[in-house]
Amino acid sequence: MNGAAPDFDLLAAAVVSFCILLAPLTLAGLAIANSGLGRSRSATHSMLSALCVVGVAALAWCVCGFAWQGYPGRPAHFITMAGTSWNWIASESFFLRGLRLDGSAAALAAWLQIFGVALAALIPVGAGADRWRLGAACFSTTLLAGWVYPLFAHWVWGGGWLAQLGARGLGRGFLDPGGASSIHAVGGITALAIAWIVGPRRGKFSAEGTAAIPGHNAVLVAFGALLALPGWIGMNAAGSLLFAAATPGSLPLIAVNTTLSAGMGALAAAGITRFRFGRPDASLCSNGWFGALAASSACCLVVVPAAAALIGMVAGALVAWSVELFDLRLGVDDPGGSISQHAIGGIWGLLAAGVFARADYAPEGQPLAQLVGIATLIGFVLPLAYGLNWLLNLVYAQRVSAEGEWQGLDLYELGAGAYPEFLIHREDFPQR
Amino acid sequence: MGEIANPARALCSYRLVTLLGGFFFLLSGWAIAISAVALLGSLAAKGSFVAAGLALEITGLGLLVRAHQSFRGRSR
Repeated sequence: MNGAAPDFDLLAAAVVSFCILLAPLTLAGLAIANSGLGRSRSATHSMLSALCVVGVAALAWCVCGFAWQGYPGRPAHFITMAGTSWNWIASESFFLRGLRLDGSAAALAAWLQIFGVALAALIPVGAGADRWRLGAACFSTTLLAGWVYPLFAHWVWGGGWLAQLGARGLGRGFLDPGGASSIHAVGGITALAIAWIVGPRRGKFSAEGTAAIPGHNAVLVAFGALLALPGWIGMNAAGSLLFAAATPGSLPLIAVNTTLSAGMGALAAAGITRFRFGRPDASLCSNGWFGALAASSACCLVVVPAAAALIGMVAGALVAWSVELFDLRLGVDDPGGSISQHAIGGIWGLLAAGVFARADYAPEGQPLAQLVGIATLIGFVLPLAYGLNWLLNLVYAQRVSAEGEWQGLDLYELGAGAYPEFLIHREDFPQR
Repeated sequence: MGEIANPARALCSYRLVTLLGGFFFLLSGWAIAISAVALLGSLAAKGSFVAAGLALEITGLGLLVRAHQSFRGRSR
């Protein structure tokens, strides 16, 4: 990625448009999976949160997000450090003014970004399941979509300093065609901040140990994972064409790599859970599938299919291992596995893109460029996301009251449950 | 004497110091990484300092985990 805008012909614009039309399937898949991984008494709340968060994210990004994010070749602010200028933020107009919404690459990128920012905003919904208030999710999404996401996405996709690391001798600059960093890692890191700020669910951690609180519907989780696949292929392909100067001819490679990666991720998680617990775990396999998809977003264009399968397999294994690590060792309550899927999977994909890239995408210094991007995610995005949500928590409590959590968010915040025919309140879960 | 007069207050101050230390390490690690890219010439030197920055960030993450683990077992 050298930060230059690609030249676009009619065929490329048509292919990108078709790919972007698939992108909402990713949102639907993730929303359904998040709902299935939470408790039955908060299932409607989870789906409504998804709808509201997508709406707020799209609005906030259009109002001010594009102004900070921009597109390569368009106006931006620079700062000079060590004798060289660093493109750090775009200087577009608010409300998408100044951008002609025609078939140009910048207009198509803006269209794709609306789904990208919505996907990033959906990720923390899984981590905050069963105790994150609907209003807090909307306010937090405003901060993510209006500031955190556009700033980092400008650095990666808007011609910013990470994209231009190639000019400083670091390969082709930071490589991320499909959004493993700007969508998944940013969303996953925000999910970690939310999980820390709202704290664990009541009864999750106690002096007796850690309680297993399983998701209420593994069928929904697996269906969400399958539904997300075509959307993911579309987003990876559209991102590659718009931000990595790929051609429509590379579409089969992107689709094959994305599918192989997802499948191997699920199989690796199935193998690990079969080995660890004696039988495969459907929820963890779906988590592995999502984690491998997040990893594929960085690698889909730049690796051969065999490497994509290996990367997906490692991602699935990492996700299965890290879900347990966060749950049992680190004391992070993440019902949707969002941190493992999107932050761990995405960061592994970014690293793998630097290590396993084909020769034409791996000049000297490429792994180092990827490491600088990862260092920016951990060292800058995490403090920023945590700080903004901590401030929000001071003025608007993000966690529901104890009564609301006991009652379930469906009844407490919405007044009606997802499954009115039956209602089970089970306070005591088996200790691991 | 020698006993902690207010355990809740001590826990809060421990958590605050660990939290602030964690974020300081995160930001410092990032500053080292981008300074290395901006200021150093050879790839080996850049790589060493970026790795050092990442190590500092991982230390900061460890501190953040400790800070939030102090809530474990506490009724919320």
